[in-house]
Amino acid sequence: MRRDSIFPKRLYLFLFFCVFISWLHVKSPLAQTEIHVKMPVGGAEPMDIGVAELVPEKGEFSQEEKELASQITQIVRDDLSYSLMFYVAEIDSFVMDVLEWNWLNFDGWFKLGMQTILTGTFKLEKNGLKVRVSLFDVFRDKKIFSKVYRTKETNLRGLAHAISNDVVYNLTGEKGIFSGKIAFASTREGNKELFFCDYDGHNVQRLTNDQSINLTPRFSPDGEKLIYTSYKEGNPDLWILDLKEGKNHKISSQIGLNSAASWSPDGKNLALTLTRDGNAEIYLIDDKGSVKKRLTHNWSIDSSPTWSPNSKQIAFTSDRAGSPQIYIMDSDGANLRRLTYQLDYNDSPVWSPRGDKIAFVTRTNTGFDICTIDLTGENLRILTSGGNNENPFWSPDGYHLVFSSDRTGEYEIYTMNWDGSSQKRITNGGGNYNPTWSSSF
Amino acid sequence: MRNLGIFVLFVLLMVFFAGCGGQKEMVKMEEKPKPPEVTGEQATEQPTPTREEIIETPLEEQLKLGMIHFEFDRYRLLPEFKLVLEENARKLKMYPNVKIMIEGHCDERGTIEYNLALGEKRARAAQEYLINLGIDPSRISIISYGKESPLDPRHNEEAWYKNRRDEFKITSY
Repeated sequence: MRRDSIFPKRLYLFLFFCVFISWLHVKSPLAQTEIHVKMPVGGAEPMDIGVAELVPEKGEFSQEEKELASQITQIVRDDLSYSLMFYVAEIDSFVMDVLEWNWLNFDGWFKLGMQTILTGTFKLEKNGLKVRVSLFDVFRDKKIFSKVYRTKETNLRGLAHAISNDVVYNLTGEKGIFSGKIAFASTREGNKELFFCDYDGHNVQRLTNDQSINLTPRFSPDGEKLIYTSYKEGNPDLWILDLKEGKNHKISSQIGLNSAASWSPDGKNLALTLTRDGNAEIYLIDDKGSVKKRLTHNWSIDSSPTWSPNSKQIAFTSDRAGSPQIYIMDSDGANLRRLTYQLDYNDSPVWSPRGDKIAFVTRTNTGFDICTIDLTGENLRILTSGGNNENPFWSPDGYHLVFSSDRTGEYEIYTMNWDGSSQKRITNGGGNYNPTWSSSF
Repeated sequence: MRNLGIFVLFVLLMVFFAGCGGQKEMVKMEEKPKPPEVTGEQATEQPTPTREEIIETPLEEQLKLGMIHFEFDRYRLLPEFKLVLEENARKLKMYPNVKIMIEGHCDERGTIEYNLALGEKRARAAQEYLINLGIDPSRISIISYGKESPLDPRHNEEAWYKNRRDEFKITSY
């Protein structure tokens, strides 16, 4: 599956070019030219894309403009590289100068092994940033899209992520994940409040000020609302936070637990754990909190429901067989089956947005680790090791996972690729738990 | 030098604990799987409370409803803690107006959601036992805090044992 070490031939050619140029000139472009090699995902071959530095719209950059332009370029490169859909070649203006090419020299790009080239201009205007980018298809000698982006200077990262999203969408037809948010619970300010940040950990913002314990946030399918369990009024009730308006209200306050809620992808139902009938069972409610149906009937703990992407099935945890294991049922409670048999304590299932896998947490000799398993019960993979690794959640495109881990001694939020590679910490300061990921904001 | 430093630290700690080992601290100490003479020594060092102090002492501390503990991932009542519950029931019968909330807690291992459910099972187990001992069900409510409110923040067996517990809080009297 992995092909980290296999460079496409064209990239060797590119490397050769770089060496050639460094021979021509004292300054080594190799030092500025990085090549990221990615494993293919979902059977699709990553695409070679050259991302050129933004150049001045007119004349020369001021020092400030130069720095801003270079930040934007780097964020776009990092995004595209993170997506696993591209091999990103970083092309700087120095290379261009030496080659004496212009951006439309498709023959030259083709020889360098680029399938697509992203170029652009930058200008610092009075009221903010202006970027114009163009994406070219080298094979077909044509422009794929061209677009002007304008934003406040404080939203530089947002602008860069918007460019990356458009590149991904235009080349793959999939929605880019770069404008999504990762929400999590954190004790950084004392109480356990909810926060969110960009997928890369930037732009952290506090969302609640409930002075209480807030747990298990989950986004609505449109990413505009967040449901969570809060002890704000004493009992663990289910609350909903409107992210656009910044207002929250209680939606389910049955006696006992109102916890581990999860919104169906079609937006019609919420599945959650209630203990109002004397035991932890899974129920469907509407977004006003009315109970529509009780789905489990077993004198054991049934919790942590997660929806299939088509909203027709629900996976959940139950200890009905003596220890927590993952089960799957239809969204009306029928056709119950057990998914996990191999490990003796499995919990926190989350269904991949691609539909084929479920990620969960297992207890090992050293602590807790994140696993994935196919819906057939095959291909069990343990993706983490060291410390406790908990609360997995999929990226909206199903190519990444976010989770919490205390591997450094403190609980922090991490992301990784679907196969466990590229584990990266995105928070600091400790006390960060329970991440969840939205497709857009 | 190093040894002297440790000795000084030890003495300071002893003085500190002797000075501030309040009633509430002692309740926790009693439930620890520790030699009982530790609490005995501390008790003898306690000054006799004055009349004012007794009146101002919250009922919770006068009643001293004992905490109970559980095995990992279990909510069954262990024999030694059934004895604690029987003692709690005796006290509750002495104060028939007292209403209590049983808080179920878990150690940090396992997920937030599962531990919420497990904590509730633990609270409910104690609630049912007290009801069977003749306490009116309307006097006992329950809540689960899962693993959100540990007594001991450390990450070891001793801390986990302490944190897997039911606490009995007085809500009205």
